[in-house]
Amino acid sequence: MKTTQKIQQKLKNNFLFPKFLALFSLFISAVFLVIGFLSFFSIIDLSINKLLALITSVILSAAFFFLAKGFYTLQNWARTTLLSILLLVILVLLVKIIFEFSSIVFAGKQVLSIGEILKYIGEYFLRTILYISIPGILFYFLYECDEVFSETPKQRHMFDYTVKNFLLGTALSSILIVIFIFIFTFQESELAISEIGLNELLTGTIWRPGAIIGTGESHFGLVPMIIGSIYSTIGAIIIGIPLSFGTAILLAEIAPHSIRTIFRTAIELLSGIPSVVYGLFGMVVIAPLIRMIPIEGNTTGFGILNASIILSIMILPTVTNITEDAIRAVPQSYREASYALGATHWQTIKDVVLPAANSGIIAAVILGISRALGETMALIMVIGNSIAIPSPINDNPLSIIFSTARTLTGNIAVEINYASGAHRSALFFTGVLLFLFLLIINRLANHIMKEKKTS
Amino acid sequence: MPSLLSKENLKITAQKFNLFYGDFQALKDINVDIPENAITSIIGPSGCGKSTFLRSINRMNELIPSVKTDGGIYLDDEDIYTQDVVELRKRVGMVFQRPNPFPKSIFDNVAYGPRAHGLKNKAVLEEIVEKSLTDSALWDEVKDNLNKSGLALSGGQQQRLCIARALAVEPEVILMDEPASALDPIATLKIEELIQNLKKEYTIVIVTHNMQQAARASDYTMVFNMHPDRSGYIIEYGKTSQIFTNPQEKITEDYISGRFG
Amino acid sequence: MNNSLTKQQRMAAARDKINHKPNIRKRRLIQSLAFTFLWIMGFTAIAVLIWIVGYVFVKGFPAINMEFLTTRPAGGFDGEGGISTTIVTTVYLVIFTLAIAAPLGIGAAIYFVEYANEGQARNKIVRWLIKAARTGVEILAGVPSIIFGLFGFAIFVSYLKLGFSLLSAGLSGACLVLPVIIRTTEEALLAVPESYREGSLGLGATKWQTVTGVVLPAAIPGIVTGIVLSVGRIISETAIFWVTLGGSYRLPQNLMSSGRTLALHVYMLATETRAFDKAMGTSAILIIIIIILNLAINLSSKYFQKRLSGK
Repeated sequence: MKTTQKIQQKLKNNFLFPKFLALFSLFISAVFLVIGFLSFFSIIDLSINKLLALITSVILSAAFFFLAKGFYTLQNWARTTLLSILLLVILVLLVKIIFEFSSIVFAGKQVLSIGEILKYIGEYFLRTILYISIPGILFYFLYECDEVFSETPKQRHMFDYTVKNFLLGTALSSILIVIFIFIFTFQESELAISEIGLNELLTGTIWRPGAIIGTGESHFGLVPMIIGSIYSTIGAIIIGIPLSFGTAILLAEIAPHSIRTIFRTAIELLSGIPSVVYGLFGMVVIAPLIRMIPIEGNTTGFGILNASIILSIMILPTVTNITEDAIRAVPQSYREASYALGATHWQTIKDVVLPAANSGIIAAVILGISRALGETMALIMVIGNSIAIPSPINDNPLSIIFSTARTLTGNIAVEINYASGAHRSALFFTGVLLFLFLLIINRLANHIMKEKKTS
Repeated sequence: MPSLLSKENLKITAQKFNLFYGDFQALKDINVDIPENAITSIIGPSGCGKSTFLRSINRMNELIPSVKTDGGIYLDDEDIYTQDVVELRKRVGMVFQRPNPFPKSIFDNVAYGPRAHGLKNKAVLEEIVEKSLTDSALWDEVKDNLNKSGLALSGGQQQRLCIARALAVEPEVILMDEPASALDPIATLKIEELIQNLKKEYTIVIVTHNMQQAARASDYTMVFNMHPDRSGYIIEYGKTSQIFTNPQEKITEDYISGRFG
Repeated sequence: MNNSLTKQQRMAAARDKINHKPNIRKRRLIQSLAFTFLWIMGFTAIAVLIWIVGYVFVKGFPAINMEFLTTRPAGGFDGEGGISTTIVTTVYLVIFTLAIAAPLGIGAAIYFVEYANEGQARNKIVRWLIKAARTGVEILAGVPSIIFGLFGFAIFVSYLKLGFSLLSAGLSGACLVLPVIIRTTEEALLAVPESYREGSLGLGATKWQTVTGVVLPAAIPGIVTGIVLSVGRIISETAIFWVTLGGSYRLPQNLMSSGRTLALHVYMLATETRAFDKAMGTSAILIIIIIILNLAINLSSKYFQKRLSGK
């Protein structure tokens, strides 16, 4: 398009536009200064502390003064600063418009009909153009003006230096978050430690936050929840490990390529299913099935058995993937040596490959345990959430699997919304406990996996 | 600066230059002159530090953290360590052993350098791209579709693309690290022709393992060798014709006649 | 020596045993049994998947219709209403979480891959900082989501008094997906050949120009994969948002409003109402979204691989 090219050409050689911006910035700078002084000397009244207003206005005025200087001398940093500000303004405006538009279209009891939506789209589109046009045009002109501006090598170096340190800052964000998690959760749990005491928390067998029940005494023993977590995890391991190992060995050693692809897609899908869906499935499908088992005392279908089944499926993708990777990492030369000695494939797997992969396999199990201990919502839906210590429902001790229970994670999620005081603090303490424990075993697993890589 | 070659205009000189990888000395007491608008080849057995020295000229070896240098390298009588390294690399370009075009179009590959140095005018960029591709003998083969990916070219074409890319920033010196060693003989010949044409405008320094190439294609030659402690040094350097027909040192003579290396 | 056979006789017997290979049939039998067991395990896993997804789809599809999708949830014991506002809230949450996590994560990954080694290795403090940063990512990757929820509750909802809001939920969610983005971006950056960087630096480009002009464009496929994975994660998560977003079924009017995501809605329908059919319907929609996301990742990586190796 000839006209845009002409405009672009003009902009690139035009020194007037930056000078105009310089003048404009100078003007804004002066305005800020004037407002500051007027406010300080009580000639006009802004509802903020006078000294604060003066200081702020002086700072802002100085900033715009430097910006003006930058534009006048055609420095690139001034251009970049103004471009960033304009971009931010445009973004904020866009966000506001989107929220407004969504409110009108979606917020009602019923989403609006297509006809009405179109009408509003038209209206909001025009609005967007109106709001965005001013900063947008300014942005465009400034963007195309790039050849007029320049920067010194020293400035470029400062820019590189700033970029490097800024990126270091983003890299440190993770450890900062970890530190904050530590600080805040520890702080919140302090009340529990001082008022309830570690002894009661870690060895007490009754959990009864008194305020809810109405009785005077409250107990905050976490042992029932600890047992609940442990039993459900053990159950998940018992059911899940054979499944995962079997699938992993199958995929790594035996299955042909096409089947392997199908399996991998399936496992990927399994890992993507939200945990609430698993919980729902446990409630609606597994529970009735369990209820059908003719054992005395089996009434609800919820409990450790249900939780173990659901959990085992949830940890399947993790354990399978890591185990499969560990098996594949065993050098082909080991297998060839075994075959050459006349061993069968299965013997090779059993006696050579699996032992060689054992550190990866152990890591896989540890990560599976960590996943099982960390799961919350699905377990709330299927484990029954009773606060008593799980115990066999009839004379047979094995029937403990039909007992309902509550996990540490479930405890937190179910009660946090209405807990207060020491009760709430105890829940945070549970969080800290979980956090520290999982930290240790995750580091252990990572350590084992790294050692394997280096050996 | 006292020169060891007389009469010629000197573009680059090295004076008592040493380079260390941590504690290991890779280059020991390098003193050499590189004349302007001529082709200087660097030959010698493997591992003598030829590529290391080449990469010192445009300070590419600074990318390795453990590198320490001593002594001076001068471009037009200016110490390269006092200059801004980004500006230095604009004046001293490099072509690598394996062609390494970016995963961008042919046009964007060649225009990358000028753009990085601040040039944005589209018309000027188009001119530069055409000139660079012409100078590197690739224009006729690609002019119909500059938007094709640089990776879709053959090996020899890719290397010529990399040369065009280096030419586009209008350097004064072009460093080449065995530019044709990864190519077939026909592509190699094309590159050699190209280099001969380039020397009119640029100073060229080329590391090569191919002694016939060095003998027939370069004006000056420097011969590297290794001390017993595995540090590299220059046995001798001078006009190619003199080095190959009348070498001063016995080691040079042995190397050239193939008795070792 | 109390053996009844001489040494020679014993060696002959052992040689006989190997030569006759009498147990090859036994070993083959064991192998068949073992392999059959393995195939059963494998197919059980597939069967479970088909069972779950199938059941959800069969029970859930009947509940999905235009009215379901366009009506706001209305609470009540029978779970009246549909899921319109939950869909929009989920979209808001995903965008907001990514807006925080993506720049932080990509920036951190760029630092780890491109800057963390050169020259800085000389400064002990910086080296220690880098190690701390990497450990931070590792630790963060293993934290279960309920802890992020607890943390978000403590710091954003309570201490900063942001209350149950998109802001609290988004900030907490960003902590959750940050390690995912950092890891996948790091992998993508490491996969970019060193020769690209050398070529760019040799032309006199600065480090930052090299990163933005050559390395990042080449790493885009991997980065996009990481982002899509994060989207999947955010959509599937419940615990963390249960504790920071609240459960209001109104549409959030701004960043400080509460809301309800699709996954949260499933949970609340399942535990507070009898409307299991609607819960199944919502679950079906969730699963469909996950399938689409997985497909997108697979297809896009194939497309990008073609483009990077020359058209």
